Amino acid sequence: MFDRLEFLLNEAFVSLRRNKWITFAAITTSAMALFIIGGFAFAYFGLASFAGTQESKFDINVFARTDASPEQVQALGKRLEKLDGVKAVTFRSKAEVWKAFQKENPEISSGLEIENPMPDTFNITFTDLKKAKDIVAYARKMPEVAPKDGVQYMGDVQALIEQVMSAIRWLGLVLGTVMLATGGILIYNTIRLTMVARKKEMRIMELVGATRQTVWTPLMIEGVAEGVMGALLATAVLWIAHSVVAKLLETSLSVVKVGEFPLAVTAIVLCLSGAAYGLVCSYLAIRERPTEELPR
Amino acid sequence: MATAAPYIQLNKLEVAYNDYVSGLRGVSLEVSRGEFIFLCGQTGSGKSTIIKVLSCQVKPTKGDALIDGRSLASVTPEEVPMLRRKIGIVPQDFGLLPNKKVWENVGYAMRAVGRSKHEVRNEVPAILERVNILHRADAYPNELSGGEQQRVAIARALINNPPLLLADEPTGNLDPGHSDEIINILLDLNSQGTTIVVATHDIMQVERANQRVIQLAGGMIDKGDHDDEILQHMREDPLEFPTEES
Repeated sequence: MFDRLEFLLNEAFVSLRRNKWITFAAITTSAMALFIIGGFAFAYFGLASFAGTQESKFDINVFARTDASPEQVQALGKRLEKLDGVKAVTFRSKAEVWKAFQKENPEISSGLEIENPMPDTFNITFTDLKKAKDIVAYARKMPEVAPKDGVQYMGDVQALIEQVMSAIRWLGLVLGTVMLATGGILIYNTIRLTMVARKKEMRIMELVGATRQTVWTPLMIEGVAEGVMGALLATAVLWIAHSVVAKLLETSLSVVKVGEFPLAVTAIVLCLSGAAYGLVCSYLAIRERPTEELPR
Repeated sequence: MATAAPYIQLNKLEVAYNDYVSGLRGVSLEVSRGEFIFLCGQTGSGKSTIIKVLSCQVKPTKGDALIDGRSLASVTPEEVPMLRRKIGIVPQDFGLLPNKKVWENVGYAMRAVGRSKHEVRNEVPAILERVNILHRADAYPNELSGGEQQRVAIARALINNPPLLLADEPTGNLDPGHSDEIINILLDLNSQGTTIVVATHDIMQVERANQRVIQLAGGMIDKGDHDDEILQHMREDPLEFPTEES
């Protein structure tokens, strides 16, 4: 079995050596495609994770009507807790809110001898930021909620993050697809060139009765090797890019802490993707072999 | 007395390459096991097409071809390699790999059909010896004469020890001396029991070998079997074969 494997691998690497430059082009283009997709995936998931840690900053405050009874306020809290996408509901009585306001804004509140103007307040955090808008709309319609400005929501920042994430997703998808197609065409062409360069060997193999697997396998190994080499290159470039960006973010925005680069996971995921990609491209190239060259 | 079934049988075999070009137009032929036949005819007469059909490189459009009772029309693409291992094919252009030595050319073909390196080491010398080229085992094809190259091509066709050998113009590019060598090797293989089918227009070799001759013209059999009239016409004009009308 090892003897057979050695023959097939040897056949594949002979082709890689023979078409050095086109192989180089195929590997670098695949690497670029995987780098772009991988890079955008990192940016997307990084931002999503960042948004997750910032969820408390996107909480909402729901103010009860000033004329609502304590029972009504309690009922409102229970209804809010049951809403889909709500992580936690924290109640602060009007007295607590007023006290906190006075503490935070002594220059405004000092000397004021007025009745507590603050309403009973519920602070809501989310499990899913995407549902925030629905929750806000629903809360506004509740009868126990103050009719004017009864819900305080910092939706603009969240909307901005969502827009950025959406842009990254689309940009990554479009650029990645374009690069994947280019890389795929190059791998496809490399295999086609190999088939032309090795026409004589393949013809002899077929004439003496080599199976289709024996003729095809080296070509498919070649495609897989190009995909994997592209993936390894992409992993290395991503690693470097990650450390550069991390350093930049950490020095310019001292609050941001970028996580460590998951080298092993990235290498495995990209290598598997590259291998699958090379396999598909080479298979397509082999399948489209002109019929007059086929044995039957 | 019952007669043995023919080893090769062509039944009204037709091959059309496209709507306008026909390779064969209804050829019927029987070849016995262990026989040696020459397929003769001018370019385009259909002799190479018969070789291609028998080696499963071309599928019959109509009719059928049988080898050892097996219809080639029913052979699936997956079965072609196994069938080819029972057939030695010697192409017109030798088909040698220029970057491999003589023994590597034969060894490469053996490796392609699944033989181990150990088998290659053990069997290649004997195969090269059969066609008298062992002394040039370490030479590259460009260091060999045409006859020697053809002997390597025959050696490669023998790796599976096939009962049938198909040779397409094996002396087409050779001088008379080397042509003699090749035909002698083929005759020798035939004497060991291998059925040989040779497509050729080499009148001298056909005459010298004194074997069965099938003459083709325009994709049809013009004259069946060894016929002095065929040889006479070939001698007079090797490119203009007699037809039924003439």
